[in-house]
Parts: sequence; C-alpha cells; structure tokens
Amino acid sequence: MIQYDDEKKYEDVIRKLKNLSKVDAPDYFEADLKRRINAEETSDKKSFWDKLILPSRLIPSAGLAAAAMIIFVMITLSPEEMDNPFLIEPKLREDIIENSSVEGYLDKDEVRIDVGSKEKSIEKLDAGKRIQESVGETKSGRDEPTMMMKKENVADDKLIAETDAAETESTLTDSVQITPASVIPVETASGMAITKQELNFRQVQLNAQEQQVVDELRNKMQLNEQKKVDYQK
Amino acid sequence: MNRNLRELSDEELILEYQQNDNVQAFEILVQKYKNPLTNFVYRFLGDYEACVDVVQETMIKVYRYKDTYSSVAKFSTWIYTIAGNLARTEYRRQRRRQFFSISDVGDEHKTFDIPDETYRPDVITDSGIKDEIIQKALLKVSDAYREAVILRDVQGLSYEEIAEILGVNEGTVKSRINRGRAELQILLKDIYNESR
Repeated sequence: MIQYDDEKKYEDVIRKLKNLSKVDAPDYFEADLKRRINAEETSDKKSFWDKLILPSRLIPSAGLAAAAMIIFVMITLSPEEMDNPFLIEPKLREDIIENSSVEGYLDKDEVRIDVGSKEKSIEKLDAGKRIQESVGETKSGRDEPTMMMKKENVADDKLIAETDAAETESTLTDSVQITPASVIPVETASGMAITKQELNFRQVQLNAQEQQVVDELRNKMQLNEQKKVDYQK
Repeated sequence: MNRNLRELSDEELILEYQQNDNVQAFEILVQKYKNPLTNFVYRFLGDYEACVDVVQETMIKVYRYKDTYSSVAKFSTWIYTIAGNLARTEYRRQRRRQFFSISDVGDEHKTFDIPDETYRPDVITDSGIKDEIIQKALLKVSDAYREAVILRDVQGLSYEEIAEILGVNEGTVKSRINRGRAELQILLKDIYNESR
C-alpha cells in the first residue's frame, strides 16, 4: 500500500523516465567487440618469457637499479684507497716470527732434533730402544745481541702461538722444528712431537724405560762435552 | 542449429557457451543485451562513447569469465551486475578527471575537455530537449539512488532483481528509488509545469 502510494506520489517522474527515448548500441558495436576480443586474445598469447624478458614498464626501474649498483661498486672499490700504501695493512710474516721466536728459546742445554733423524730414532726406540739423536748446536758462543732481542719478543710470540695455533703449526713444520723444553710441557718434549705434514706424522710417548735410556745418553753426551772442555783447558 | 539457439533462454544460452564453448550462443546474448545495457549505462553516465566502451567491456568479461557464472542466478542479473560495476568505476574515473580539469582553470596554457554532443542519440529525437533536461537532472541525483531509479523506472526491472544487482535488500532498494524519485521531482519541477 505504501509502495503504491509512493508510485502515485511520483507518478509524473516515473512516467517521464519511462518515456525517455531508448538509447541503442551503435552499428559497429559487434564488429568492434570482436576486434577487441581478438586483440586481447593475441596479447594473452604473448609468452610468459616474452613478458619476463622485456616488460617495458620495468625498464626505467631496472636501469635505475643498475646505475645504483655501478655507483655502489665504484665507491666500495675506490682506487684511492686501493693505491694508498698507508691504508694497506702490512702482511704478517709468520715464518720469520716463528723462526726467530723459536731461536730465542734456544738454550745451551736444549736439544735440536733433526726431523729426518726423528723418525729414525723413533723407529729405533720401538725396535731395539736405540735412539739416535743429535745434540743441538749450542748457541752460547754466537749472536748474543740477537738473543737479547729475541728474548724480548718471547711474550708476543707466545700470544701469536696461542691465537694462531693451527696456522703456526703449519708454518713451523716447513723447516726443521725446534722444540724448546722450557716452553713445551715435559710429556710433549719427551714425546718428541713432530708436526711436519710432509712426513709421516707421529707423536710418541716414551715410557719410563725409554726415558731412562734417553737420559743416560744425554748424561753421556754432557760428560763428553765436559771432557772436551776439560781437555781443551 | 542457429534457429534452435535462438529459441533458448538466456540461462540456456550461457550454459551452451560454458559447456560447449559455442560462440554463437555468446553472439546471441550480445545481440539481445547490447541495447538494454547501452540504455542503462548511458542513463547512468551521460556519455555515449564511454557508455559503448563500458558495454563492450561487459561483453568481453562475459566472454572471458563465462565459467564464473552460476546457473543459480538469472543471467540478466549477472550481466547487469557486471555492467553496473564497470559503469560505477567509469563514473568515478570521469569525476576524477573532471576535478583535475576544473582545478586547472586559470592557467592559460591548459586545455579543456569540451563534451562532444554529436553522438548523443536523444538530441536528435523529437523530445530531444526534454530528454536532455531529464538526463541532466538524472546525473545530478546521487549515484546510488540514480542507479536504482534507472533500473526500476527506465529498465523496468523488478525490486527483487534490482536488490540482487545492487547487492542490497529490497527495502534498501525501495528506499533508494523513492529518494531518487524525490530528488528528480525537485529537479524536474519546471518540466512538470511546462507539461501541465
């Protein structure tokens, strides 16, 4: 009833709207529609890779990104910094440090063990407890100033040896290794640790009997030395 | 076969197009709906070129997304919904463009879009002037009310169909139609006086 009243109320408006002339589609409507449908289908057929390779709307942003990358690379690899010798951190000559530090530890009584003879001596110890060892050269007579300097470096060398243990080991093993008894624990020293990689690496722990033999040999050598000194006198 | 297709209902035609990909069924639907949709969209937009473009876009959507149609709904409701959505989008776009062209007033170097009246079909009819006045009045009515009034009083759809197209309940539809009519009555007062 309310609806009917409303329609009565706006009767004239409704009539005017209903009498509005009908607007038809143009004659070209269907032809144009077909053309548009075909155009959309052909654009859809464009392969995914074609769209991916050259999406024209991405060209400006891609160019901008490339330029940013180039600038970044140029800044980070600036030749000024590269060529400035004051900005280059000097390389650490570990081989020199290690050799000097080891030499610094050498004492009169310390034994230099030749690596080549180490293997032989170990084999001999195993077989018939015959140990071949060469007495280290005593350094008392030479390079005293050098010794002083080297001793000053002991603390630094220890630090290097602790931090770069693995690296140090590999550099040390390139030449004859000298193992000072004052630095290395007794067990390791007596065990004659050989760290040269090229050789057949072995660490031997001497038992009491073997240790006794070694001590006897050492005493004999010391006695011989003493005799030589006495004889010279 | 063609004769048989013409005897089918809209829902049967779209099913034929869906299931058998029969383009002839689609063409029949285009022939059947191009004029009603053009009338509806033109009355809503007031721009014939844009209206043709929107109706063609509607047909393309039907062509491409035929599978989204569910046989539960009436085909006419579905196609009017698509056309209405596209018309609303186009109307908003036109308003934005109008806003920017108005904001350019005062700059002597700027150009203005002058509406082309040559394609206006209602201008060349006998009651062309009245139609033009009614059309201008319609465009002044709020979007939501205008759409409801056009669907009811120009297109002659039922309240139920309009409710489905607009996605609102029937009460809201009736309310919108009455408010739209009321706005129009005020706007068209002069024409009433002339006709009496």
